[in-house]
Amino acid sequence: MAGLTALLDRLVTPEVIFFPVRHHSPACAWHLEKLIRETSPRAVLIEGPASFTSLTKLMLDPRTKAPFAVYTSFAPPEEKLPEGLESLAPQSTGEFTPERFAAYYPFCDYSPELVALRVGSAQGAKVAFIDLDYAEQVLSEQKARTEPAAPRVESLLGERHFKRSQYLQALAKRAGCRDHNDLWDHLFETRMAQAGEGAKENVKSTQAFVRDVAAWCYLARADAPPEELAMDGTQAREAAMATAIRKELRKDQKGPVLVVTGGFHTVVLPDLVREKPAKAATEEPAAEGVMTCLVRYSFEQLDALNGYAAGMPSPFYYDQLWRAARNPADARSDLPDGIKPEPFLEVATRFLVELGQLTRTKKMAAALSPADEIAALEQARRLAALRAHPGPTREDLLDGVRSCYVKGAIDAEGEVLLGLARHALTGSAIGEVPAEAGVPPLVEDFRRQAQTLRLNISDSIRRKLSLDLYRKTSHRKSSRFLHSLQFLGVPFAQFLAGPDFVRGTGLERLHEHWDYQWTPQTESQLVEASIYGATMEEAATNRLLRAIAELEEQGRGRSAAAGVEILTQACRMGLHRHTGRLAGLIGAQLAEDPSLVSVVAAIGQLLLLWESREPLEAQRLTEIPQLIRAAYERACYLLHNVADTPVEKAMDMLESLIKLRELLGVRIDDKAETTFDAALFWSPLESLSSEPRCPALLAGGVAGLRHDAGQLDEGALLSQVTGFVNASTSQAADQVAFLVGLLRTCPELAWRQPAFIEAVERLLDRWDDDEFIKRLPHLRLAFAGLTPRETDRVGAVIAELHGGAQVGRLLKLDVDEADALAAAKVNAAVKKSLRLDGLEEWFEGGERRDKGDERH
Amino acid sequence: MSTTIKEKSPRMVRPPAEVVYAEELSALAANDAGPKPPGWRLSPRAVRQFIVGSDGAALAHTWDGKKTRTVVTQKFYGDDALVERCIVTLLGNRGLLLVGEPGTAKSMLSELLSAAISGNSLLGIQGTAGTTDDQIKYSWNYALLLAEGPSPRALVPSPLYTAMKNGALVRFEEITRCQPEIQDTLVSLLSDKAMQVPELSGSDGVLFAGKGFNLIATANLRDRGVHEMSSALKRRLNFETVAPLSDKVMELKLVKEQTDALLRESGLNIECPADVLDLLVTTFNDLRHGRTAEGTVVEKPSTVMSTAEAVAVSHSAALDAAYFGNARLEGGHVARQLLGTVLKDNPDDIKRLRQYFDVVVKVRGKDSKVWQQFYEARKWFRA
Repeated sequence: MAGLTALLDRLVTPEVIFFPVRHHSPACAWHLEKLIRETSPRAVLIEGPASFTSLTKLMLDPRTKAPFAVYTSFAPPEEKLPEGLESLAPQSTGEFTPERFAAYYPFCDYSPELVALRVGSAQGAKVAFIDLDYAEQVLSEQKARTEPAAPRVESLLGERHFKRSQYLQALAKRAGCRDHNDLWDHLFETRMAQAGEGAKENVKSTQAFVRDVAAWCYLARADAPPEELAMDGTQAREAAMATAIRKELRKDQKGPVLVVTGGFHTVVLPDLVREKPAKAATEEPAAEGVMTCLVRYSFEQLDALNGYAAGMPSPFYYDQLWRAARNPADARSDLPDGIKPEPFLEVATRFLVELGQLTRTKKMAAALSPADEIAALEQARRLAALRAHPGPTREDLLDGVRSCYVKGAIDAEGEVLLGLARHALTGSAIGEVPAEAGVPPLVEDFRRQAQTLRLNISDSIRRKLSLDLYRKTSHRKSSRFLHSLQFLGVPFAQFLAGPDFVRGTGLERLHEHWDYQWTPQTESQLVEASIYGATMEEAATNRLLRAIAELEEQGRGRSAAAGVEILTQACRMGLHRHTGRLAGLIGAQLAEDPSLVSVVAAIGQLLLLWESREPLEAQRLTEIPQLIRAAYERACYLLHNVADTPVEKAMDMLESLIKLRELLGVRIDDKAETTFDAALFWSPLESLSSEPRCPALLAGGVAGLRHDAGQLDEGALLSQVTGFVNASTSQAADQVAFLVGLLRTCPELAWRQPAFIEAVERLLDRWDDDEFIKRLPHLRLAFAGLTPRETDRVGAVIAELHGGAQVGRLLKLDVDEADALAAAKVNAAVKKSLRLDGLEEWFEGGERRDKGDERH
Repeated sequence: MSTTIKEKSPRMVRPPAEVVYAEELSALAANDAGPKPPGWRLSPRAVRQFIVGSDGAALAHTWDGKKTRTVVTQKFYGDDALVERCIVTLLGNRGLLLVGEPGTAKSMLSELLSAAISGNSLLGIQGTAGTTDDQIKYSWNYALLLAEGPSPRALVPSPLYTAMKNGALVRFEEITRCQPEIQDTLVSLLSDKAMQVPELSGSDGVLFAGKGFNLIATANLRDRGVHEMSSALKRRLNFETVAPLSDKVMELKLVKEQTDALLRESGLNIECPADVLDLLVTTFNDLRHGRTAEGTVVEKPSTVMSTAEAVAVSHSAALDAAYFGNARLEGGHVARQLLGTVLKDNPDDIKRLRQYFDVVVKVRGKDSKVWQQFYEARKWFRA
């Protein structure tokens, strides 16, 4: 603790003030503003890549409206990529751009950095950014610190250490807070707008704030191991910042220097600045194509971005809170005299009322009334009192919603309402940047790539393009480019013909044929889409993630096939990075899919994807074999319910069973063991034929499959056939269905097993003519799967049974089926009438021979 | 007529919370510095501490004539914020409705809240399909009624009536099992906070609720035999969802503690190895969430695999080991008792359980003896 006290004393001195901030914290911004106005520093040094200093004029331009971001990217030269950094480089081959690293540095009106910039320069102080440039930051890192499936674009304001600090977690639990965000709100955001009575008290409250924030960061840093800080570049950055501060301090000018940095760094800076600078051997890698520009940004994206790095959530809420806190009491003319405006209460009230109104305008089933709003506000206020907050904080507000607005279980009815609430707290504002900021990077990226791929965008002539996916890498890149544009909804190219891996058509084709044309709409749509990302890949990624999120929302009950479709699309666009999340989603959908047909379809598609992995470069997608296995297990589980298939769906089900059977031989990876456990497939089918409610078609089909696999010997099969065939005549449909199913899966029975033909004959014998004609179409169907040669063999068997060597001439009459059937009917009617007249003997002799001929 | 129990009788299967935790309540009362709302025995912070625990801190107070220090134990595992919301709801005008799956400790929370706030958890109405108006409001001693005519003496108050009169909390368990028309009796009672007794005259004709009165109801929203609640009634209640434990470590601790307590009551001394309990909790977690720690997705059985069930299974498995085994809990005992828990009314559940065993347990059994024993016991799963 001695270290902490010593540090706290060094934070505020006449020459230099170290102000620790948490990024995007309105309380820090509020106190920072107060401090700047009181102390009038001569220079304000802010944590941020040094190259941003050139953009300050643009940032301070009155036309620039927050939220905006500085986008910075660079391409490291390949040879200079130090060892161990390959894992950092974006997954290589198949990218259609040279490897680029990119990052955003977002600014909101309530960001302490922007407030420092604005207020500082308004007071005439020099403002500058003092951190390492992004390129230097990345190149000095030696180990990837993000998970493999995370996008390459990161926030420069990551907060991993706060999230992980065990000290902070324990403190959160002790204080009764949910997590470190809640704890921060509880300890620090509540101190916004808490000015003391009188100027001296005012200053003291800010000083106390600074000391407490520093203590928080000091203790959070105590948990972080120094080796990690060296490896992830933190130490290098702090060294650079200390150098810049020292340089400024050496200038002998009047007035303190104000240093605004993330609190995590503030706690070591005073010491670093004091020390003699060590000769750091910083390599000077020539990063190429460094680009830094100002772009519009949105609250939604800020929230999503922070979701990866866990920054402060709910931007719109904090924005409103900050504005409410800044409005001084005397300027609020709409309040009655003597009422002090309380920012937390004000913002909470407004949100609750707006949320209530939203449910009414949307005509939701759970529409809320003003009574609910009153109850929610009361709940939030009382919770704040219980938790010793000056007003309802964000969690208090959300708790009010949870208690009073949700009328049902929170994971059912509550999800909709809480989703609305979170959306309202996040907000949908989009910032503005002046035209001098230049063309959005997405348009630049598009132009650059089109040029690299040799697509002509200098005029509006329609051109054709033929891409050889299998043999040329550059064509593959073009294909991805065009597919991404299509996915983003930018009008540029149209797919005419070629293999469609999503639908599974035309797979034998090797070339994709496109038709493209540049129009002004292309660029305008790109400008619109630039909010989603600064490069084609990033924009496509964000759209993909949105599609995934939508799929997740609709998730339950949908077939897994939709998920596999998106996966294939992602591969088609070259976005293999995101397949991890998709694979998880597909896995979950597979697990809930109740239909065997759908699961087998999904397996088919996954196999297709796996087999086409060469043109789609999906080799690295190790999740796919895993998914196929999981899907197979699920399918085998669903086999237990096959007996419940309704009769109409029996044929589809049989086809799925056949497909599944074919899978047993497939080997996905080149390991020695077989991929699929056959026992899982065969055991549910054993008991199937004895199930009374199983459709006969399936029973026949399964019997055929089992016989084919050697699990059912001939004797048993024949006894099953006989059993079905000898069934009472009221189940004639079943008898035929059984044969249809059997012949579908095991057609060779027809010519190899004379006993089978005998059984069929017995069946036919029992039918009278009407019955025969009624069943004829189904019998035809049963034998329709045979090739002509096989039919010939069958004919031979039949002939033998009847003692003839041949069937005799089989006439193919040039009569169409309906006519033949009608004729047969007439024939039967005539015979019947003859019988009634007692003339049947006259026909007896010819009848038997005719029957043999009719079977063709 | 109010029901309170002061002492634990050794023959009672389950004494009420205010008796079991009498010492803790006394310790909290002695150290309670916060303002007490009218009708409450403890301040809201103290109530919170009663339920969530004092984090190991021992509070000084006088008990049984002697000065002692008592630690307040944690009784509700899970969401501290939920407890705060419940307490704050009870301070306000609306009633509290605890919803959630069976076995998530809703009734226990309701009992603890009423014990801490009113000192009496026995003012309760048990909702069934046959609950009538009389059981909610009041009924009559018919003999007296006929003899003397309507009078306060002849009136037999319901627990709700008593709670209103004394400014205490009333518990209404399983409110959605009552017929909707009967549930709606509460609508005007909760808004007016007054009960009309038309049979009596004068000031007895209306009973105004004393300060400190409120209602804690519990309900399963998705079960057979539950009815819909009208929106009018929903509007007068704050819904709080009690979720099953998601933290496996906490659940393991809870299962171990509860099992030990139950076994102590039965007077048995059985060895419950930690890895067997871990197996049990892991199995329950997997089947509850439909996903194992390795990421395999399994089909969830239709029965709710709650923590209470886990405790019951571990208790019966321990008893099985004690009386039919060699007094050492093993994977096989757990498997046998698991069947009765999973297979309640849906015969498909046995298939799901078998699938879980075939796909997950078999693989785990290769590395661990306990899981292997568990897997081998699947021979008992006959459809």
